[in-house]
Amino acid sequence: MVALLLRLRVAGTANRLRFGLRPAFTAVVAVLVAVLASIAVSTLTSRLRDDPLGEVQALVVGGGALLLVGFVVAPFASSRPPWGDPRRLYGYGAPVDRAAVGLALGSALGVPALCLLILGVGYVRSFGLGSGIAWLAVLGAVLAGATALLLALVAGTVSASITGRRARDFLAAGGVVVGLLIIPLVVDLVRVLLPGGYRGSGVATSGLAWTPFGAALALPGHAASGQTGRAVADLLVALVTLGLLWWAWRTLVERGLRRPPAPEVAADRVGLGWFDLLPGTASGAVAGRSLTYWVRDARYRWSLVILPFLPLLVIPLGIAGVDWRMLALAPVPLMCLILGFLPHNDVAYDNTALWMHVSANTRGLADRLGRLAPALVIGVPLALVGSFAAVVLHDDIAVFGAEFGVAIALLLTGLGLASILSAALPYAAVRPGDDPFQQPQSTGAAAGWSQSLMIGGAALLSAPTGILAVMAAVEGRTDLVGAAFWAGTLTGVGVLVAGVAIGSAVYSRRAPELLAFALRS
Amino acid sequence: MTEADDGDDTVIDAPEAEGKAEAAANRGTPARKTTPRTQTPRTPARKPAAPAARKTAATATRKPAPRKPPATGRKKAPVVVPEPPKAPEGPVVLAIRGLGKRYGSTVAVENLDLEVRAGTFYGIVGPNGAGKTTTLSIATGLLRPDSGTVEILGSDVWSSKDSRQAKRSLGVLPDRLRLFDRLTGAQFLYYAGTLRGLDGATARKRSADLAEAFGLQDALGRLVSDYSVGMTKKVALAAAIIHSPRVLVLDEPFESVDPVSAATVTEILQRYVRGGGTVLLSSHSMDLVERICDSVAVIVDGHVLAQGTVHDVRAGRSLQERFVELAGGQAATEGMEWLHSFSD
Repeated sequence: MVALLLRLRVAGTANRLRFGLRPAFTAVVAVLVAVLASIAVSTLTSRLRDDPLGEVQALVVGGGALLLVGFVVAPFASSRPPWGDPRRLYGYGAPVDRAAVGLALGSALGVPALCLLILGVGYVRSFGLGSGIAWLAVLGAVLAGATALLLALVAGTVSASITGRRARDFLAAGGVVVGLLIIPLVVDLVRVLLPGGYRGSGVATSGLAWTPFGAALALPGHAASGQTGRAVADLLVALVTLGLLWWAWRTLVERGLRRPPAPEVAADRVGLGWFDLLPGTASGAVAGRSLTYWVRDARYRWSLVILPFLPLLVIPLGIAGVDWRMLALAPVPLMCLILGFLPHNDVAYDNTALWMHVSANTRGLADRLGRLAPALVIGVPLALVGSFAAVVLHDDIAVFGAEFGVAIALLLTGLGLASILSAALPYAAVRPGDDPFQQPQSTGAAAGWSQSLMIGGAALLSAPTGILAVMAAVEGRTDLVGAAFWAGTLTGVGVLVAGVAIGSAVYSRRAPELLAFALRS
Repeated sequence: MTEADDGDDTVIDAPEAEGKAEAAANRGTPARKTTPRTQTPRTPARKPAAPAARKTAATATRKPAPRKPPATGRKKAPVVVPEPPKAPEGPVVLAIRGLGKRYGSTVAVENLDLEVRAGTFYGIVGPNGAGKTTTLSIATGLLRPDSGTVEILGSDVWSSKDSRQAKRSLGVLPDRLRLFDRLTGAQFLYYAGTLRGLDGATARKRSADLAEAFGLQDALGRLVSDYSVGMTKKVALAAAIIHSPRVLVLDEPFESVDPVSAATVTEILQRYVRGGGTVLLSSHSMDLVERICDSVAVIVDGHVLAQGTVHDVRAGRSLQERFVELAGGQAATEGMEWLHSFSD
């Protein structure tokens, strides 16, 4: 049974190379990329052997735990059942234990295991403390590797047995939340790598050692630093984790073999993407449509693509001699300003498809709010996380409130103004399906007016917040941080609410004229 | 106003039963036989409605009757001239009065009057540039008129107070306007439904029903921008009726639709009209209008030259001949003698 399953696995893998040049090429490139990346990381890790133990421990335990979390989260992103899905053996009468072993071993044969092997070598080499510790490191690596593969196996099978697409979407959202939670960890790791060395407290590492994700990896470090009790605890946690995972896997296999596969109830149901996640109201529908378009329509996508490159604008200034610590604060407000600017001609982007809103008599409020959804979905987390990253780089977390205040003020005042201007002053835009770089036939004076009002208005409305924030962050008046935060938040929300209200009224009154405008352009 | 209110509510409530009945009717069984069955649950559903709606139901049940006698009568006694179908007597659901619209110095529509009664299949025909699309766009609230009024079930489409009510009763298929075509078919129908105030579950269910009825099931997962012209028309038509409106205004609904789909769509629309709905459509195809419409209006240069039942308008000739006569097309075929002396 086990041998048969392993042969099947090998044959399946070989077939990827046998049929067609393209899949073979893709497979080879993917494997090469994964292996080379692993070798690079492994080499970097093994260079740590001369560094203090605390630093090594922080890096390998933190990074390794992150990797293990990835092994849980990643399978949920795939919509195809994994190779080891036990439901595939339903009806063959396979014995549970042997099927569980065979499927687990078969699933382990693959690129992830190869990468883990390479990384494991680097992990073992990072402890340059003699053969005793090295053997413990090998034990830790083996335990962690087995945990990783079992985690992926269980997660993949659970993901495949959740037939409801909606449930899967929620799990994906959960994955994003987990991702956000580990950002501090990543920040910690980056700081270790930054010149100047390790400055973290080690609390995160110590905490992670108690979790299934970090226990096995922390074992050699604890032993080397003489914490025998912690080392034994690590071993126990790691073994219990493995035992529980194996039990879970065996249960899944047993269920898969005994129970007939559930009929594909949702087989003919076509997913609605963003619409599935939003309420079935007019505003929800417009928001879903906007989000779909921001992802799918090249015109919106190109506007979004420039966002991540905006921080590069500060590099020339830095080379010119401006203080890097001050420059670190600049990109996030700039990105928020641009993001607030993006929806200012949204109605014109619809072109004549706007007739659907007009004939359905969509309320101005629903139309305005829905169109702001993508900018808010991207902008608010950007302002939060970006401001945090900026103040970390600025090396003074205390000014977070000021940085966030400026960012949110620029974003929300921009969106408030955009709500008015997209209804009051649309100008000819690139038509749907056209090349996003193509210029529209005629833009007229409206384009200039609209754009200057947007940028000028947002900058002017955020100016008070900006002044407070500059005093707080640059001139060191830390007592003004709170004021800047509140000024930014209140101006932003106030202008947004007023803008949406005015925009709704303008849109409701002018909807047919907006359609007539689209017909002309 | 209140009458219209009540009537509208029954439309919003009834569709569950309607949807099922329609789905049943579409599942292979011959449509003719199931038609009476689909009507029976409908009529009682409309009973408690306002008097206006009751009259609609009355015309609906009476409607098929005048069609049969000519067919049977012709066989038995060929001497007897078949009785012309009576003009529909339902309440006026769509009234256009004194409509005027000009684009710069060009007059598109001038002082145009049109009345469509409940339960009619009304066709607007006219040569290119006659003002059909302008008229229908104004009637559906998409294009602001210079003068005149449009009332749907007594509510003015162009008054800020009544327009919500009026537009709720309208299903619209415009010609040559874009759709939100970066959505998949399923997303597009869901979008149309929820914009029209349906809740998510209803919008999903009706999308599935409509996809089945229009033969779009396999295309639901594809982007509308990848559809052929005919399929785009079908999905737009499906979106127009997803909220079960009282009045359907369709601009060139059959243009570039293949014959099989056109037959399906015609069947759906005829069933809708028999159930008390009203269809106002424009078309270039005289043959089609003559075949499926009860009443017709001929619009030329922004004026209505003739309107009434198809029988009255064609006055003993084919609609095609009558139309060419009204539109004055004969004159243009003279001249151009050079075309008959070939160049080689």
